[in-house]
Amino acid sequence: MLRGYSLKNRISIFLLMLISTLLIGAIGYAYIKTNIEGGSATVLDSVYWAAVTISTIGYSNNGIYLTSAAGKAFSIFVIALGIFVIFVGVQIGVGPWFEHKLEHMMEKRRAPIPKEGHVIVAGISELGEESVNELLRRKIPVAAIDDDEARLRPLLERNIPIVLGDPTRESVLKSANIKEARAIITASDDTTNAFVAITARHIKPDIRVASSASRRSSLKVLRHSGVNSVARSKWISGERLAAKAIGEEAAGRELEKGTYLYQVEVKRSSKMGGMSMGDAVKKFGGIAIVGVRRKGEFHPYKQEMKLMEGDVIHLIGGREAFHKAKEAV
Amino acid sequence: MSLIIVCGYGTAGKAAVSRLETETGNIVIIDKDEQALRGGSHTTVVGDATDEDTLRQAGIEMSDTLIATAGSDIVNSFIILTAKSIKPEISIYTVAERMENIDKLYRAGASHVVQESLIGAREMVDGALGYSSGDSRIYLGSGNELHVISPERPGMCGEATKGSGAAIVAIRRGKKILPNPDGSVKFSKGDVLYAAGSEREIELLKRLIGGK
Repeated sequence: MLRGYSLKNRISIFLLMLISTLLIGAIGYAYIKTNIEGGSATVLDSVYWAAVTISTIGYSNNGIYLTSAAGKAFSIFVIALGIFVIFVGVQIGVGPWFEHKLEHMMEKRRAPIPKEGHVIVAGISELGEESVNELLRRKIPVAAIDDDEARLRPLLERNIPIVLGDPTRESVLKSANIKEARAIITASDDTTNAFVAITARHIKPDIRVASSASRRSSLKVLRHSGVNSVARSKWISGERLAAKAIGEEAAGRELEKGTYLYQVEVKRSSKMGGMSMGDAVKKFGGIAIVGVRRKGEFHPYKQEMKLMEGDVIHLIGGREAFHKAKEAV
Repeated sequence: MSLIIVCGYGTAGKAAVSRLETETGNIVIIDKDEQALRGGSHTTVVGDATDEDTLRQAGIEMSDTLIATAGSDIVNSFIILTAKSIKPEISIYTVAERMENIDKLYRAGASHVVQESLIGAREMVDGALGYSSGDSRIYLGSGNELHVISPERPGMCGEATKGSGAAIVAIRRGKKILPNPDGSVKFSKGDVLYAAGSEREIELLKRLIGGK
């Protein structure tokens, strides 16, 4: 009933019904009191009777009530009408109004979009969601965009700022405060990614854009559309697998020509466990320790800090020196 | 090093092989697609890696390492199960496309499962924040960065560290690396410093020694 009407209209209808009932009651009371029962009724008395009857209070000690058969029947009719109007009214008008208010309060609790220096993640795919997590781990504020509410809900529950909408639209990117953002990550399909990059650059020409790419052939197009860096997750996964297979934690990363950053884990069988970093460096010879990752936390080099089983040592040096060090570990 | 079998020669498979090549020449590649295997210098087997015969043909009995990059979590788990049934002690490395499949791949018998979306996410975040290759800085974790700095002024490691909080973990002088130099070690223009610390500490260090 009345579902098609807007909330504002529904409340108007409810008020109109209430006033009509009040008027019918008042007029009926005045007519019966004066013409049938031979009493007198002022306008105030009539409205008072209607109000008391509709509200089912039925106060009668002051003489404002009906005693004739017609009067009693009319009273019952007005009480029934009053109950009907109020019950229906609560359902169609007051209930939804309450709900609306509540929703509004929830919306106010939604985390606000960061003012500046944040990174926007457009497209909450598995990759997008992981990017949000990685940014939060690095304590960088984020705003997440997706046009699918279901994908945003887990983020909303974690109190992460979100924008519901299509990230290829300027208005949506603007509501994520792109003008003050540090960078944008786009993790949808390749076509959408390219379009997000173009749109983002159009609004803010100097923004950094990072994108995922599912096909190698998209690399060039993505670069053309203004993406600064394309994540080749398949390639890097492959390198990581090979590194793991030959006893390294990650594929060596070239810092300069001939100098790499390596990662190697201290295994249980290793003699390095318990050795200080300073002694380990002396033992390796020609390769430097940057620090260790221990239980997810990175600890920079400290001469006296002891290495432990499970540590992932980060090393800088040439390939040969690294192989010597790997043997030692 | 014993024989390494790579199952699947797509993007990830190629990356794995190109990394392995620097260590060993003892690699066998399996792929269904003959076209994909053409042109390489390694031994190849055309066939389905979920098939026992194919794995035997590739020499699984002589191998103790297998890399499964067949392009889907389902196929990879099947390869793992097949390989383990032939040779239970083989070490298998594989990649999970979906997070929810990581545990299943381990249960199938993988020694290590690389999480593709985690790796991709890290790389994208690195790219967004300017830590990707081509940038002279790397994110190490827990707010620490590694920077490659060419100092404009000579100085002493101890003073530079005390003044900034950042650690100079190595100096490169020509081709030689001076690992984890003491506070008394001096550096001069022309050296290359590798420094680790927070963004702010590195900023202070660069201001102190005038490097980029």
